[in-house]
Amino acid sequence: MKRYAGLTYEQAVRKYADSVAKVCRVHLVNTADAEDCFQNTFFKLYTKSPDFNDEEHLKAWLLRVAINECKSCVRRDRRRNREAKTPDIAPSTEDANDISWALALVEFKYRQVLYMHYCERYKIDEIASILGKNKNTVKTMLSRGRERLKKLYGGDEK
Amino acid sequence: MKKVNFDTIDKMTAPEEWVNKALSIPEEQSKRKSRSIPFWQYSVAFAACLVAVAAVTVTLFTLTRDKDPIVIRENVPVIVMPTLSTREDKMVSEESQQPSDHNGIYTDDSDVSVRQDVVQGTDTARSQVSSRSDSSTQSETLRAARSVTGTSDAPTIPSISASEDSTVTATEYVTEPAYIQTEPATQQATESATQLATEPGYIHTEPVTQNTTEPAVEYVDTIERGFYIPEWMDVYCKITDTSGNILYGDEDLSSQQHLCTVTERTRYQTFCSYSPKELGVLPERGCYLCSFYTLYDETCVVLLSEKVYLNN
Repeated sequence: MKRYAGLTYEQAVRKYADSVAKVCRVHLVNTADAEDCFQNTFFKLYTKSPDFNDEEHLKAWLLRVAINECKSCVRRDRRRNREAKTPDIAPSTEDANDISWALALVEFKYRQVLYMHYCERYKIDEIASILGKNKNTVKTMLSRGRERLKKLYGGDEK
Repeated sequence: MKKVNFDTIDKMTAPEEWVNKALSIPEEQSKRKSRSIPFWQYSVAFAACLVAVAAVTVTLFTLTRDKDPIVIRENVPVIVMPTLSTREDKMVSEESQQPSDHNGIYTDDSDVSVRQDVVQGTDTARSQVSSRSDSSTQSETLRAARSVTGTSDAPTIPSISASEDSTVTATEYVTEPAYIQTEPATQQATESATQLATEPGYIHTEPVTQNTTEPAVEYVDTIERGFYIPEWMDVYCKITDTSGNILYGDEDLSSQQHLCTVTERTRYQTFCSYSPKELGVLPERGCYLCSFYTLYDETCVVLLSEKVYLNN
């Protein structure tokens, strides 16, 4: 049986399903599209069966594939002239400091960097490695994303 | 400093349905693989197709290699009237296979004599078939011979009876009722054939021979023709000899003497008649050249010119 960084396919799915689902739901407004991207990500994991050095490598690969799937989905929507929408994450009534709704409103290219940095706790060079971008590019995108996020929620960042 | 967080996103979890679907991917793939045709089967099928095509090609080549190409011959003469000849040939071949002994099928003396005549006539007819060159006469002779020739094993379609009293006669073996009785080959055959030809119910289908040397000529008093001309046009007729020499009348060919009588006039056609006999202008009974013409814008327009045989 094929193993992924020492994990079976089922173990890998159960361990990283939440991370992949979060990426898909943050980046896509439509739940059905998010589910498609989720399934496609794990389908590629099963069919491609790449070799992973460790579990972090597996997680990074899954996040990158999920983001690429989301990009493809957004691109398809654009070709079909669908109106671009942001994920409908309502502001939390219990916690006023929860700005998840604001992250959902930021542009896609800044959203992915902000999400990787603040939600998945990746460092700048790791984000650059995962997204295949230059480190300085990621820095700039993170800085600009922060500014846009600040404008949206109107306060200091975390 | 305001501290913010992304707790809503952090608390997101994958729905169990999504996870179950993702977990079922290996099973789906294994089912799909089992359903799919393996590649080696495609290879085998392709090779089998190649072998089949090669076998068919070789077979066709082997079958057609020794045959010459079809040559289209030009100017092949058309052979007319094959039907009767084929039937005659068939009958003659049947006759040649007849047994000599007819096991007493002739009931009286007259039938026997007829049979004897028939046999002689047949032989004579055969000899004449080989000697005569005229194909129609040849056919007729054969028909004469066959019509009076009976066989014991021939089809029993009743057609002709040599004697009304006899139950079985030679002519009952003639295969078709409408068979042809024509000129017999010999004098002996003539008697039998004549007798048979006069029997009721015998059908003569002899083709009418036309005398080709002398055409069938009908001499008429009045020439009647129809022309597609306007209603207001007059039609004139001019009778000349076959060389075109004027036989009567003045030089003005459109005079009243040449005017035709309109017998009927329809919207499109005008029927005219011209009677030179009534005018008394013809020198003698014979062949003349008849020309119908009309005048259009003071120009003579010939409508018809033909040979006619006229009474004086």
